[in-house]
Amino acid sequence: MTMLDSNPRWIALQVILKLVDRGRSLDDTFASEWFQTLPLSKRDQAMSRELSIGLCRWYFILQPLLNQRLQKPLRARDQDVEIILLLGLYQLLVMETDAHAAVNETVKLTRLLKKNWASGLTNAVLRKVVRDDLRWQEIDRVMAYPEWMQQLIRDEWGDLSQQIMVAGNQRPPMTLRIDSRQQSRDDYLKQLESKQIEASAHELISTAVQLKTPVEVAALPGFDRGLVSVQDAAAQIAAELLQCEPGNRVLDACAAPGGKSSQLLQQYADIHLDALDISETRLDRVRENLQRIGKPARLLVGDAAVPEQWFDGKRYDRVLVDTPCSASGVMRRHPDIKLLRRESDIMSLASRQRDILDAIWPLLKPGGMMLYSTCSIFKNENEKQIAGFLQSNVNAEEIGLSSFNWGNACVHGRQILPGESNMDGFYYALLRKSGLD
Amino acid sequence: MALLNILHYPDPRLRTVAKAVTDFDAELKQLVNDMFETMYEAPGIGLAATQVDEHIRLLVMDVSEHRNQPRYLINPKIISADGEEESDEGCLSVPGFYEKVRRAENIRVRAQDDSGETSEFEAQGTEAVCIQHEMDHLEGKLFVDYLSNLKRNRIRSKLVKMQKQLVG
Repeated sequence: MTMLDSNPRWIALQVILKLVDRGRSLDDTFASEWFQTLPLSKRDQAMSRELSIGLCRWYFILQPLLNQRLQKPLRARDQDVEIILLLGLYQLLVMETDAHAAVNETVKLTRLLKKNWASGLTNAVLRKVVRDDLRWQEIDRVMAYPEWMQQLIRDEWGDLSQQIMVAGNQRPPMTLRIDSRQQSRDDYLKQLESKQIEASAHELISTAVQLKTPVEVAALPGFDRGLVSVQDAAAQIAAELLQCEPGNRVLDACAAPGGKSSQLLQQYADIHLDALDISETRLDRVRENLQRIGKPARLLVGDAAVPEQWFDGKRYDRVLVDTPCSASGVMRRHPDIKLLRRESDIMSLASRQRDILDAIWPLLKPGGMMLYSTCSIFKNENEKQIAGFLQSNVNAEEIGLSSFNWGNACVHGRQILPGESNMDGFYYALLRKSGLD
Repeated sequence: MALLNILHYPDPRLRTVAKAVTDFDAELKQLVNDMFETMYEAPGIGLAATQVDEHIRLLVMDVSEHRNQPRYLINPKIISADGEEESDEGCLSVPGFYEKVRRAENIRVRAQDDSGETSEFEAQGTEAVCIQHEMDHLEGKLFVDYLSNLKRNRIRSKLVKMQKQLVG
């Protein structure tokens, strides 16, 4: 006997439907009880992930290719059929699955949906794609983004926009952060070599190691003891920038999943860290991460913009505000951002970020420092955000980041663009509170 | 360990009525192992010996969420049944089709292990459905037999067509 849920293509369809109908991110779905307990073999689970991630990555290229081959557009209630067709196109063009298998398996999905009327259509469209002999390599596929996003990237980054979009379409590297207090990067590279894991030192970031191909974390020597963590090179700079001193009270205001909290605790031996997050379940991830590296922090649940919920009245020497953002700098890692974000999200995210900044700033001691970071490339979330904040807070002064060799200096702060030195897109600005409170 | 070939409807060998297991030997143990491997690889939640062209009363299954609770039954018999439930069933011998089938909700089963030891247990829900589905195979019966002639013939002709395409 079999269950419907044993079909990896069917599962990919369900994953994408959760995304487009309910706004559920791929990461949330993949981590869910539902996905984790499907009757799928390891190989089929990997295939359903590959199909879902790949479809998001190339959705805005595949959809026009499909529409050109439909005589009339599909009705809104047949979005499931559209996704099935796009999954078929993805298999034919990108995965280069055997045409026969790709067509048959895709037609099968229409029957599983009990939309038998779509079988003939699916068969005809996919066979046409095969006949047309499209070559993925010959298709211009840079603009794999919604229209408004392409426009915004072009408006803000001009000549660099092409490079940004190309990088955002690529498969991300798996990058490790070495805890250099425990072990040198060279020694760790040797350990990886002895395990036949191909890796290289990152060209700019001294704690970063890039793997040639991703591996399961369990295969990484010393992962369970916190010798290494998985973190993009661009995110590894945070701790160094914050320049903590012994005995400092430090706040990580949007801590989950705990990558930067871990980094702070590993880099600075005797700080007192509060790790705050709005979500209790996401704070569990922070707890797991800190347990793995064996460093304690006080975990707080609460909204960073509403300190009354969690602040104990003792102000901080250092604050990291790694705010919720559009994630437009990490679309190579989270291609579902391309489908999840709406143009109006940018302004509402910027206003949320400002609320957090305004609420956190008074909790900083005079002379203390705040590091603001996002994984966005949009200026309203980054340099314009900081410009506005500086304008209305006379006791905030910016500490320039001009002496660094990563990223690009902005009017305020510093921007790493996606793909630069193979890093995620990231933005940092460092502010100091003057003696006056 | 070896992956076994699964027969596809309308292969007439699926209509064979299986014989009781009488030799509890190494060969039987090997077949149980191979059937588990075949079932997990497929992947399915249950597999009857009939489906791999071995016509003895043996079935393997794992209905657990984490695919880590293998169970096999030799010479199984349903000694009592009650309740009724309808669920979407699919079959490794009828690939790609899922249809609603009505089965008993709770059953009590007597079966032997690979040394011939007999025991009894109760099963509910998916496990009960799966046991009934697999025991049908041992009688030469398939879930499509519960469907209307129209539906069954449609499935049959689609599978025949697909098999021809695969051979061609």
